[in-house]
Amino acid sequence: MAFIVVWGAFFLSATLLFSSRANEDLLSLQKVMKETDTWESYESSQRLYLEGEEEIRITSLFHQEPYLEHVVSQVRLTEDEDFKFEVYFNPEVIYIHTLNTSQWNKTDYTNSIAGELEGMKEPMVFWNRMLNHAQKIRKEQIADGEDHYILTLNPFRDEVHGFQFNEIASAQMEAWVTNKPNRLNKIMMVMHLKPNILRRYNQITYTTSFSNINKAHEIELPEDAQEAKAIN
Amino acid sequence: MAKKAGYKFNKKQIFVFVHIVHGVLILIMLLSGLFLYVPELRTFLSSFRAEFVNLHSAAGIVYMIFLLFALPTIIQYGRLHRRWQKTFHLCLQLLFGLGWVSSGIYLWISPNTYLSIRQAALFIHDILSATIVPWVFAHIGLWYARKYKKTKRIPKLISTDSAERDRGMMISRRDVLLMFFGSVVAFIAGGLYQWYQPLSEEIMKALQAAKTRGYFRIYSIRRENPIFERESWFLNIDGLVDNPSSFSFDELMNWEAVTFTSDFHCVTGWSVREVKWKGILFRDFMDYVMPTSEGRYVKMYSADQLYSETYELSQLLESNVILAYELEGKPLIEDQGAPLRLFHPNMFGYKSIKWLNRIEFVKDRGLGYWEEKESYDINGYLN
Repeated sequence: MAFIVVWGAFFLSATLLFSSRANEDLLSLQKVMKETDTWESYESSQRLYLEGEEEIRITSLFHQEPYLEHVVSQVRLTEDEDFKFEVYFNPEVIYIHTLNTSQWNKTDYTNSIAGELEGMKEPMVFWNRMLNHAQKIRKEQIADGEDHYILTLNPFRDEVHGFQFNEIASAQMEAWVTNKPNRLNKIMMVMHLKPNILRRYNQITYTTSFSNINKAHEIELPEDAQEAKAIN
Repeated sequence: MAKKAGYKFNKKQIFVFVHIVHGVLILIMLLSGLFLYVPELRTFLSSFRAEFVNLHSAAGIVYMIFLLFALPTIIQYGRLHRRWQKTFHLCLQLLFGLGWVSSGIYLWISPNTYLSIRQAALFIHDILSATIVPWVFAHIGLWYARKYKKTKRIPKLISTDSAERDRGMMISRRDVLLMFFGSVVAFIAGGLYQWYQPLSEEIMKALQAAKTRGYFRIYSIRRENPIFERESWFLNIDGLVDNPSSFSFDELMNWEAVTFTSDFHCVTGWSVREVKWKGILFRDFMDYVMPTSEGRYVKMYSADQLYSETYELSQLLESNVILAYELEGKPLIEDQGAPLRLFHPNMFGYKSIKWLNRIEFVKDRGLGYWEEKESYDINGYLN
């Protein structure tokens, strides 16, 4: 009996002292994801596919100091028609250029539209939220000092760029991180939806990839933006 | 019997030799470890701290090799001295040795991948070191008492029959061996069991509410910390700037502050995760003091009048580089560098100078305190 108490105490102390690999991997991934906030500049590409067909494409060019961001959004409307617009975020003013009509508009951050647009320029907000749905995590080391995280998510409801994620049967999130320095290169989620005859797709894939970290190209506001009409 | 250079050592001499060497090695490790652990002692011999780190590591390696070579002798001694108390003492020393060596090697390699293992290794290393001290004193005390006949040894039960050998005793030698072996196995099993557990609810909660993990070890190169007096304290910024300036603490409190959470990593291997910092962005001072084109480097001075650090100006303009005055929502305490310290999230802790009271813009970059003393990396980046 005494043995069992002593052994039990050692067993218990080890369980209290150590953490699980899954916990540690999740914290490591969260840390890497958070570090994107500290990047001076980067270029990113966000894509959303329905059954493998591209529905939304958002590319952005971000500079922290001085704060400036250029985002180009392309949303598929029909088989052969897209809606394209670009947004320039300045510290005080947001310039919106509708590429289909070449129209320039501007607004400040007090306008309600600013809130809608800001969602486009912060891709990591959505991904950070997704970590809260993690059910399982696995980390694999792949070639060239790159880590591959694979997460199984619990079913959730969310939204990104106006696109609703509902009726999710299963979802898997993957992240590719390079070592030395630890940097998030790409993050992807594949969602399988519950069958629904009113919906033409059962699988959604959403990806965000980063490039030119801390060495992104300069952003120049086109001269036409000076003629932008203010949105009231 | 062992034979060396024509002289025959008897078993007792060998046992005594092993015991003395073991004791000396433990003493060296404890003393050097004490200099790494206790802030006052660390400060006392600050210039030689790196030597103590090396000495400690070297003693650890020698200790490990010694244990490996001495193991057959220890087993032989254990077989000859079958009292359960002796067995307990031997097993305890081997347990300490195993714990120190395994945790020490992990801390020495210091991988960044899994913070929890590093913190656990540090805890094991510390707790074993703290536990051995009273045990050694008790061991010496018992030896002294027996030597001067102040206590009597329980008569040895002599029997060659293993079934009868431990008869009548509360604890047998076999029990002790079983308990120690089982404890090591149980500890390893507990660690492995925990390691392969799925994501815990606690960690999911911690994701949402950032929680500090780990603890700070306080480093200083002087025995006493500089004293902060709010009325007389000033931060001076001078050198190659157009507008040399001096700020009181109250004036700094009126500057716009930023708050963010970032890990703190010490170059010696320990880390504190998710530390909440508050302070003024270094780059906010640039518009005020206006460094000249020649002022490409920055030298910072500590109020202890000994410690200094140097940086490229561009390094200090990186994001979230702050002159910090709050940690975890509270003003910095003396040990943390009150009232003001630098915090650079991408550099090891030795670059985040404490008790900052002067910033000088200079033309040429000199070396900081540890770069000069111990050839630490001049930039101190984490990766």
